Amino acid sequence: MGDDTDAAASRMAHDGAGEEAGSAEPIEYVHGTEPGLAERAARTSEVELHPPGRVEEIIVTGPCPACGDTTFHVEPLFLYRGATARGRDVVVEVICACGVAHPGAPQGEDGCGRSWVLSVLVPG
Amino acid sequence: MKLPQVRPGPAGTAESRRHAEEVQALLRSEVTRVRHQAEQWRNGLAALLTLITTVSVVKGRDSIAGLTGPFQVAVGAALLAGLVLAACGTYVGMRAAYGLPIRQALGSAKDLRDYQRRSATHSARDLRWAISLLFATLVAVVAAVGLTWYGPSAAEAPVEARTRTGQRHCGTLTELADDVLVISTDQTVRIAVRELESLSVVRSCGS
Repeated sequence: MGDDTDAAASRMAHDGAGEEAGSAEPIEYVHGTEPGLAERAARTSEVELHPPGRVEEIIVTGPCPACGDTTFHVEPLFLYRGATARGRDVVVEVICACGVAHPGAPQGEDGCGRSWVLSVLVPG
Repeated sequence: MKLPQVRPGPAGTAESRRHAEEVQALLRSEVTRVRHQAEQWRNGLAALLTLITTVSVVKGRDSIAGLTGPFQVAVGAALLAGLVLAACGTYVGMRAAYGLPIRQALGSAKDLRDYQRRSATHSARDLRWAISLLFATLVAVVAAVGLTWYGPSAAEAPVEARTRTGQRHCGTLTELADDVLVISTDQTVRIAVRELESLSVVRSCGS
């Protein structure tokens, strides 16, 4: 987790330019998912249960596996609130919200448009 | 608590993506929505507070004046309780709608999210309190109105007359004219004022 190398690699693989994340031109906006994003994100994302001691939200931070820019995602768990979330696999669909202006992005979108699904096992 | 284990999840679909977008949209508007709700409730509470104060000040004295002593106190207490509850409800409602000015360090995205969640949680909690206080206010006002309507009026309170000859008559005072006192008991009793030793208002005509 927290290894930016993978994200940079994914970015290189994506645009083929071989540039470092954050230093190249932002990639084209694409609304949807792509194969391999979830696998890369599972290795590079930092996943945290928030606030500590209670399970109200899952916070996912780390590089977007598509564009390489740092993204921040909050998954509310109000429906599973409290103890019921513990010991469960929670499916989290993360949408890139890197805040970088990607060409072709609709008004109000603050990411590259890609999303990926992670399965987070909340400890019991 | 141990760290959560993360694995690649199932393949995303158009449906799951739409759901995720809606969740994020709801999350972004969380504080705004709660505060908007609180604003509407606060308006309701403010209207109620205005109503209570108007009724208490304009109409209250006439209505209460006709009651017997303990009921006057009870109505006054209920109205005061209603006023205090409504004032507290308005304050809590306003706090839910607008929050209190505080200094907050927002160093990271997580700090900002914490602040947003706290604001939404506090607003929702204040709103629940404001609603409870609104209903408590209503209960107090209804109690005051009920006591005013159904409480015994001072005119109907029984009186006990004792005569110099040691007789005791208890009933409702209906007339005092030409130095003669008229008390309604099971029958109408007429007592000359000069024969009267004492006359007092009593809670009830006991044995």
